[in-house]
Amino acid sequence: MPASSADRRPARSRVPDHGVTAVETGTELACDLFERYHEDIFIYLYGLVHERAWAQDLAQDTFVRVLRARRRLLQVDNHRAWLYRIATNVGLTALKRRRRFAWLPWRASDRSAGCPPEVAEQAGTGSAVEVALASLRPGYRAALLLHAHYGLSTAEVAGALGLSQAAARKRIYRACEMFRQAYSKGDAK
Amino acid sequence: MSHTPYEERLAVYGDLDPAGREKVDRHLGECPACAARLAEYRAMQRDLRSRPSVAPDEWLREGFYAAVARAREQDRRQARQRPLWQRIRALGDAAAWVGVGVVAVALLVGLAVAGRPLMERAWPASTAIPASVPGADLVGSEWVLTVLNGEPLVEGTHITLAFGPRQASGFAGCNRYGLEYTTPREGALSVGETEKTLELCLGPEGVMEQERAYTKALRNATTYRLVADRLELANAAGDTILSYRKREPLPMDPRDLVGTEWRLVSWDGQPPIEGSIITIAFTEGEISGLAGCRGYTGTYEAEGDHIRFPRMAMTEAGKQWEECSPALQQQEGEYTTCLSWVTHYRLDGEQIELLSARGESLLYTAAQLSPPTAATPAPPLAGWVARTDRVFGVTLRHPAHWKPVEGYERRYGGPDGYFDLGVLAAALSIDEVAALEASHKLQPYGSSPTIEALTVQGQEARLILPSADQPIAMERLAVLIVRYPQPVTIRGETYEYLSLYADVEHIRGLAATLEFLTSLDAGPVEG
Repeated sequence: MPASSADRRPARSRVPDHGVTAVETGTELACDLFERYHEDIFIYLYGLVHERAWAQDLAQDTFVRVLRARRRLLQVDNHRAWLYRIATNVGLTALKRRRRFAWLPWRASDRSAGCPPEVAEQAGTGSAVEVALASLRPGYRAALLLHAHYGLSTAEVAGALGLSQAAARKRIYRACEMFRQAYSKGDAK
Repeated sequence: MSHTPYEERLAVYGDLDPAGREKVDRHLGECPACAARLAEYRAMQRDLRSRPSVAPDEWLREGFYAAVARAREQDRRQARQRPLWQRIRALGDAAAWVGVGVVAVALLVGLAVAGRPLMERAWPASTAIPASVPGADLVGSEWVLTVLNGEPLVEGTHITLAFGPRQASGFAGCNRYGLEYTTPREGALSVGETEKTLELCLGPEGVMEQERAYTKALRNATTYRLVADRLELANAAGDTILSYRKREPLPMDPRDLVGTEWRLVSWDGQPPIEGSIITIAFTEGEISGLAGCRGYTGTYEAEGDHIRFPRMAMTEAGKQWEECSPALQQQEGEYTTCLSWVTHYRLDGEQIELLSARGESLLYTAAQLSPPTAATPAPPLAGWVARTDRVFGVTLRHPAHWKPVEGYERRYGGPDGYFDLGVLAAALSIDEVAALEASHKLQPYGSSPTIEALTVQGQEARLILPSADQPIAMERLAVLIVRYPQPVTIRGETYEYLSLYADVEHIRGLAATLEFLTSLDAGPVEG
């Protein structure tokens, strides 16, 4: 028994000595990412799920995942694209699960499930854009938002959606087409 | 004829490399329909980009930083087993503080305060270093930061620095820190890595950012200058980045403490909760007193005007923990935590002031102790009013002074508590629903909430009560989930469960008043 514990000891001492500060740097980076992107991520998720409280939960979830990855955060080279990738995963998975388990939002701002009044009021195009967006399938909605709203490159969209570049380009194109048709229909009304 | 290869490129036009774009441009010249489509895509993209901005609620931030605090706590626990951490701990005589940490953790809801490894040392004034050695003028001096990177400090924050031989430590606004330094020659300063405790402070606003900026500035300091009662640290470029004023020690004699007994009258200018009694009594090397609910005992070490309380434990002297209201329990937790941060005292016969590294002040006057008053009884239901929600099909009673809370459809509350209603659709058993709610990954009810099975109005119900480590941002949230006698239909969707959210102090009282409306009562929504 003493032999086995002695065997383990050298292995443990090879753990790099700078552990604490490296993790703390990752945590601080996670905080920076939160401060810089949480509003964008929230609006992106809102575009995906069209429900304020839910989008907020998902944004929370996204950043909790970022935090969980704090140990390897420094090795991520494109934090923004990576962040959208996580948010996309979180958002699309949540949409898939929706039917199994659904809270009715009770905050006043969620009164209309589709589009909160303040959104429609803030800008003339708001409601038409949101309605057209809502008509897209989630995977397409994500591709369109990432590319057209947040300006992610085709390669970054591919990364976020787990597609090849060619497939991502096709996805963006199809999403643009679906949106275009829904949007022009909405305008015509 | 298929335009698809080009159309795809039109959708990602902004992304194309110059060669690809040229090819598309050529095609556009020959294909007016494509040109029109590109224009349309651009208009769409413009509209998408100008989607109105919807700001998230503040609880997104609070929830995230609560998770950060837990992550740091976890990291700290792991790190403590590592050799480096042992070295850091040695800096501040941590061992004695672990005991306090354990007490504090049990008492303070939400924030991680376990074992504070880096204590601001009361550096023995007797440390003899020949004056000719560079840096001898720093050893034993204590400083309070006044200017950071040319800016005054965030209001309500407090940053200190105390030099020992080769090591310095202090308080950075939220965390204690320690560092090793050398003074290669007179006026030159080389600061090693700063080691911090890993707490998270939610306020004052900007305190964490300021702390980061401060430790960064410390690392960048390369020279120091002592001018009268000021210390200035400058970076390699020669810019003064940190400026401190000297903290002059008060002429105090710890022997004057022995045998005195005090009652807390003011805590950062505020009296303690009405009717609560907080006291401290000093004997030789030991303290004892009441913490507003229970009693406490501990040890103290004092030298000059430095004092600290390395060990504390709660005693049976006061009330039972369960007898005390959550407000008293919280105050007690905050008080003992505050004591664990105390570094200095000021005694003048009439009163004693304990000052913490965090800048807190506990002011006591000579005690005239009366026996602790009996615990106040629970609020009588008599003063409660009924509230009916026809959409959710329930009636319940709540304290008359609770008013609707802005921003919520169904939330009522006052300074002492609140409730909120929700409904849940799930093809799950009530135990599964309760387990899902209790084990939410954001831990709204803390890491180990309790789930109690009970019956409300003859319906099966589960009560989720928070554990002691519930994040403060959750406002002592507890929830009661009750199965509807008949599922309710709201906006075309059917819901099987009602959830009553309320602060933990009121939830049972509210639950006892809950009644379901029969389907005949449930009419159309009014006003």
